[in-house]
Amino acid sequence: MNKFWIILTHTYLSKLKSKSFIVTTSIMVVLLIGATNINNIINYFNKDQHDKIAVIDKTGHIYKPLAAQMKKTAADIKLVAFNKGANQAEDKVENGTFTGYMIIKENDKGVPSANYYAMKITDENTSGQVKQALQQIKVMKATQNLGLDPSKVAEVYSPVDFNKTALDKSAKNEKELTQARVIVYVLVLLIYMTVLMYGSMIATEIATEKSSRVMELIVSSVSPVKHMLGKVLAIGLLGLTQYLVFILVGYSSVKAGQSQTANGTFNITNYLDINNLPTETIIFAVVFFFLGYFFYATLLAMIGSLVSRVEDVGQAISPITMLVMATFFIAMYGLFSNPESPFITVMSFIPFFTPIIMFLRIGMLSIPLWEIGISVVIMLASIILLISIGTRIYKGGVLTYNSGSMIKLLKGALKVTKES
Amino acid sequence: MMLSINDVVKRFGNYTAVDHLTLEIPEKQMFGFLGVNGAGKTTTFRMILDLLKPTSGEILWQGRKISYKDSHMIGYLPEERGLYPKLKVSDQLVYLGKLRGMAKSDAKKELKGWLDRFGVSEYYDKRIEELSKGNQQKIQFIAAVIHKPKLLILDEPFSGLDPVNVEVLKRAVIELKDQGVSILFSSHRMDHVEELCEHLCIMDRGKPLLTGSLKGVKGAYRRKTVFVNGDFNTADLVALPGVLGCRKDNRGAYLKIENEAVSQEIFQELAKKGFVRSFAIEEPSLNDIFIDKVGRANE
Repeated sequence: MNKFWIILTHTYLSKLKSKSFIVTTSIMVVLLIGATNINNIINYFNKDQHDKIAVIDKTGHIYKPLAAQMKKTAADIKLVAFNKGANQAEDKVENGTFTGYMIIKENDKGVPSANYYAMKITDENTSGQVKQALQQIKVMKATQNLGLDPSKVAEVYSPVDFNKTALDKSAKNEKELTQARVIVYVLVLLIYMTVLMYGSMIATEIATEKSSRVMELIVSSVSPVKHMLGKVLAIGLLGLTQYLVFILVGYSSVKAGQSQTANGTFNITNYLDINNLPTETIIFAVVFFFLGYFFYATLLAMIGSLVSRVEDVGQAISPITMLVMATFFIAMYGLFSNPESPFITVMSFIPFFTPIIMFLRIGMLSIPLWEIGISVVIMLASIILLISIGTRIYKGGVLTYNSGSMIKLLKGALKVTKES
Repeated sequence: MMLSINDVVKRFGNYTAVDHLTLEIPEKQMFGFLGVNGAGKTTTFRMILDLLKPTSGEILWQGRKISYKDSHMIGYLPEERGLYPKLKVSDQLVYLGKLRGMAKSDAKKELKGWLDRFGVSEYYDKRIEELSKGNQQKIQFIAAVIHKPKLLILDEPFSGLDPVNVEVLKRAVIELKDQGVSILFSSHRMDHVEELCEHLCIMDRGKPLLTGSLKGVKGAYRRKTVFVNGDFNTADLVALPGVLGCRKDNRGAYLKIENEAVSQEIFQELAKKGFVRSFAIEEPSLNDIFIDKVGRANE
């Protein structure tokens, strides 16, 4: 078997079987199931406790429409007409029969107002729902008082019809743009997470081999190129495995959640029409994801080979995480402000930012294929450059055990390399 | 000659680690590198293994440069010991064996054989960090020899081991040599080199001070020691021409002499003095030669 495959399978399998991987994956799976079923979980706990609110209606004619309105908008809050005084209502709230009570009054112009009393007023949700319902009643009453036709009022409040149409045939329409925003957002998060989690895993892995001094044995039997690429690919595969688990669990959990609550409010398809994603966008997402991964992974592998102690890894890779964060902010500017600005265009050709920013431009604008081609070529070239620099300082790096600033380490390793 | 080092120089910046080293290392024998710390032994080994490139000169193994294609024929025990602390002994050595071109089943078989031999077969499923330092070193040694290399490089193989385990490892090394493995090893323990090596090279600050076969080195070393035990004062013997120094202990006096001829004059002198219980010319130990050569080079 080729030594590259030996390193790849060994790294992949030993990481896959490691306790830390199993534990983090399980925690993430549990969180994922929780997040996708958050409505069901909240409903489950709230099932038996419908909020009951006593209503002391001083006007005598507001309770009925209010209760009807509440039934429409917030069925889980039950209003109960209460005929006795405020003191009795307070007792009932204290002994837990009611969540709270409210007194509805009316001024001389017939405009309703209310006072809401509860043991605690931290629950914005319940009082908010009631307030909203009462607001509706108020609007109704006020329009009636003015002698207006309610349907006319509805016309006043209805939103204006404002349609945007791009004259350039190739430009994206509003729906496509929303879609692109979501995909770019997802990709940004994905690359950010991947660099943070798996990139630092690679750096740590290599620094561990170096600090345990097993590296000298390894580089005496395998060439640094094979070793480095084997590690980068193995951790990449590990990441894909983990993502695959998340996607499968997330998807089936969303499906299961939906069948339980037919009108589930959490529904990703509201935001992203998965079935209608342009294949082009998906292909570019995959291409730029992998380009981004390999770029950052080789960079971090290189850094891992320079530090002498595992404890120094975090500090050494912080400039890289900072760069990814900067990319994140640039992407946010491009997404929500102006993807066509020259700043974004320039950034999309700089290797550190290309994977995300160029993909952002592909998603948001219609840019000519040659621009995409150039950025891919730049990416590939810089990855190859990084690999060749990386493997060169690799031998120097793994045989020197200096400490100090990154620049000093890099200089030291390059010196050893140049001399060898 | 199987390994020839031709006028090799290695500089790190302004520091010269190896200075014009030329050596011919014969096949199927044991070759010892001697030197104090920083003499350039490890750097030489790393250059032989192609981990470092010489600044000038070349190293040829069986007429060509060593590359990664040869890694299945080369075993290496680095001075800085290191294994994966979290990995089981079996996983670890199978992985390292595979990287040296072994099949998984062969690696397992060999590993079991070696563990049995060292009497530690129960370590097969243990993690490295659970083992004592000495036992880790045994595992490290197995990692260097598991793939039956033709050329074995051992950098300070016995340092940090107790005498019992030194013997165990020594026997293993001798056996490997008898099987036809060419072994290069470094040490600053002269007795080990004296016991094991046919050929040796004493290095000092990157320069070879002395190279050749053990017998040749010893024979060429003209300064010998004369041991005298008699019922008289030996102090005035130091005044004789050709006597370089005198050291006394409970058994008698040890006189350092310039060459063998001086011993005859001492003998004549002794005969006049009285009863001689013992008189002997002692071969210099490698330790004496080393201290003398390296000491003088540093003066």
